[in-house]
Amino acid sequence: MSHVKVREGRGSFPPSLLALVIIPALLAFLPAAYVVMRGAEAGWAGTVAELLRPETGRLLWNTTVLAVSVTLVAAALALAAAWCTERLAVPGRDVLRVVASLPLAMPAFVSSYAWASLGETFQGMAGAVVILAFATMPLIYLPVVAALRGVDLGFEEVSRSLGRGRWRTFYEVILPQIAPALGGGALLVSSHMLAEFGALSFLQVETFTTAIFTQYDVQFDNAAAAQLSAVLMVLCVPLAFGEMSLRHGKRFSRVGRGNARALPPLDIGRWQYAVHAGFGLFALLSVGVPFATLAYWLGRGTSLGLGMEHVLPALVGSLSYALPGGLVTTLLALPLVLASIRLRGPLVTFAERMPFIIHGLPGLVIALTLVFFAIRYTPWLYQSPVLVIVAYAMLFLPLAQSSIRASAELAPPEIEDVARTLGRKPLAAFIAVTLPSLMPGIGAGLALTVLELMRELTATLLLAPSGVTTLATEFWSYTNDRSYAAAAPFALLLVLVSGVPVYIFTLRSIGPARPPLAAVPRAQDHLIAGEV
Amino acid sequence: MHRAMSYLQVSGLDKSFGTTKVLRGIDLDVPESRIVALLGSSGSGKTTLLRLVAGFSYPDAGRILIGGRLVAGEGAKVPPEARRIGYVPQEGALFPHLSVAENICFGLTRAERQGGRLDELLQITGLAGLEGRYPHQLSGGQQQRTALARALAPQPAIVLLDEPFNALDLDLRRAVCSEVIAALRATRTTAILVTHDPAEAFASADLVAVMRQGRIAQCAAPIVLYHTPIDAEAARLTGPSILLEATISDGMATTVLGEIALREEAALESGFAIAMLRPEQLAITRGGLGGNEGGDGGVLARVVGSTFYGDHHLVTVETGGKRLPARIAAGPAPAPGATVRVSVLGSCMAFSR
Repeated sequence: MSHVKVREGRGSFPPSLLALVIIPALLAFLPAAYVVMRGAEAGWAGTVAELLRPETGRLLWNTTVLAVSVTLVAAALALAAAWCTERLAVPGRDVLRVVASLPLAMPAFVSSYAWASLGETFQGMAGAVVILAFATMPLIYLPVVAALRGVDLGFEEVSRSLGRGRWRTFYEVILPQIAPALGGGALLVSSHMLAEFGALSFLQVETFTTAIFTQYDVQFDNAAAAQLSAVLMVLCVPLAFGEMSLRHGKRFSRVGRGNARALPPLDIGRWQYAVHAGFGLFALLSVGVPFATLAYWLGRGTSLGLGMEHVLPALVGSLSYALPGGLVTTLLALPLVLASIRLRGPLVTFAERMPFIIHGLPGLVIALTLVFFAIRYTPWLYQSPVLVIVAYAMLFLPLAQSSIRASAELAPPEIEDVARTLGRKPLAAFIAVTLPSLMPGIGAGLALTVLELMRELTATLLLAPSGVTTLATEFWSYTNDRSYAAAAPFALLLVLVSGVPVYIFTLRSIGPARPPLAAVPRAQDHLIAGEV
Repeated sequence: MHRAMSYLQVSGLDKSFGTTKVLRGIDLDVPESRIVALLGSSGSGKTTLLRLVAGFSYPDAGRILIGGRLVAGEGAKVPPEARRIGYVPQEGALFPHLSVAENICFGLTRAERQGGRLDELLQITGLAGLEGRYPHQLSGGQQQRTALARALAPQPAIVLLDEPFNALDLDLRRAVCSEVIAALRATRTTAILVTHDPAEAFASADLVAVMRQGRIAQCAAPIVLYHTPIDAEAARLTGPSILLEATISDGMATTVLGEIALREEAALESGFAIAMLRPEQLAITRGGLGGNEGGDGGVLARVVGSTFYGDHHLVTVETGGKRLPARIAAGPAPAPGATVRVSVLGSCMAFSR
């Protein structure tokens, strides 16, 4: 086997695997090709006329108001919460950290289901903003906490010694350092809002994503769906691009940094009760009420025996798609990560980052893209499980990439060089020394992807062969029919599925002692969780 | 212990990365059972040379023979696994999922693992009792010794060490270095040590090759290299040096410090040159009362600064408009402003200008 050595000292990569690296990058062009081809078919004049309709303006307004409001509210909550748990001398900060992260275990579509079932008062834009801001707050909170802990005590002390007060120090010294984390989290929340489908359909808020679904699934208007998809992509791509570049930029600036010293927390006296009250209210609204509602519906449903006979088939359906989907996604991610570490160059960097852009696109657009190309060029693939797996891989590749990368960065390529000098051929050296070091990351990536795929809704809804049901699709169809009690068992299972990765990857890594979990990736790498 | 002939011959080696020439016509011979240090600043090509010898990449021109066998050049492309080399990279690169014993036995066949080779290596490298530990449970020094034991296990023809002590802090670095070199000597192993630290190179190696800009500027025994570097740049690379403008005639260099005998290695015609001294060659005595030049040898100088380093003072003196560092081993140092007499011990090296 011949190996290329592009740069000294970074290990080798077989050129025969380059094809595997290029495939995901090529898949990334499909959504763009889809809207362009569709637009050309419908005629450009018609497309422009369609896009200039007042209806498009209304959707644009709704979508923008929702995304901006949710992001601002979530960012303010997250910043305040992070400051309280990291910098203030408040008793029980470990518990408060868990409280602030809890909404991760209560996915947005489940809490939306719960609030929507309580009555029309909570539906509509205002309700949606509050419910979704609470649900997505941890996506900003966790990276900000990590960044706050990374800020060296020295900076703050130097600033104070140079005459800056506490507030000016915060604005001029601390904030710039946590800005990448704050910005990255905010962009993530915004792009989730653009892609959100399940929660918004329960809360009766119409955005581009829900409108596209209606056009496609209810009115069977493929052309209109494609035109709206084009607008949605124009909104999504800059967000996804910004989020990705912040994520990668941060990675490089953190290399080689030692442990920052911890700051002594600030004593706030009696105000600590106000902090506790705030966190209590947050826990009540974000998790307490939804959980109580869920328990209520579960009780009613169980006594009436509603929907129970569909639970097992849906669970089997979820597993039979999520397991192979997770496997394929992880296997595709492995060469991508290794290539990005071992080969340098614009092409490889592009291939490695492209999946992050695609991940920022709504599952709905990916699904429509695959439907379009399948019907046109590979009709035998339409309504086949293969197409679902392809969509899963496109949507969730970054999840597996981040996990594997965390392990791969810990395994120096030099160990493969050493194994070569000790008599191993290239492939044998990789299997003997590199693969074992990657296993924790591969395992974590696989587990995380499978759990995430079990709650995937939109791509499954559009692509799964008819008759196939999953936990998420059953939950969605019952809730949409206002059969809240029948939807409850599915909601509970989805909460469990969401809770496991939250426990493993998030709560453990934000604990007080910061255990040296070498194999477990950083919490914020897993906050690119999918939307249902 | 059976050993194959260990002898490395490198000749005419060229290597480029893209348009950058990293190695230009390298010739290097490493005699059997000897340790050669490659000394150079970063970017001088020393690590690239080591990687070519190891087989991690192949030269553009030239050839490499290990133990008389052609491994690279003239159509030969022997991969690293077939070269019988031991490799100790920076920071050791121990296999993190394997114990010390498993790391050391990695390069051994199943039969070899039974033969007591492991115990022998644990003894040589002072790791006995640690064989069950994992890399993260070892100190930095223990990690490096494990990496060496792993490299030595298959009885390689030559061991290559790529700045292996860089990650250690200074105290530990000297101790681990001498332990590693002792183990290499005990096993009569041929080795190449890449380093940018002249003290490490001098203390470890039989021969030191000074590399710069992809060439070997000079290759000599440590003491020869220290006292007779080939030019001013080699002098600076091999330790602190004092460079003085000089006029050469009749085997003497006339400098701001008076006349200094010229080493015979400095084969120079009469004329202008640069004379080179090491700081410990300057001796300082209390200034003469008469203030006459020449007197009992040496010149008068004014002390402009003095720094205490524990085991010595570094005194900066000024004479003839030139500031010079002098080492004073013991006793009180003259105070700044004092007048002292500076004389030169031994002879000086000189380079043409």
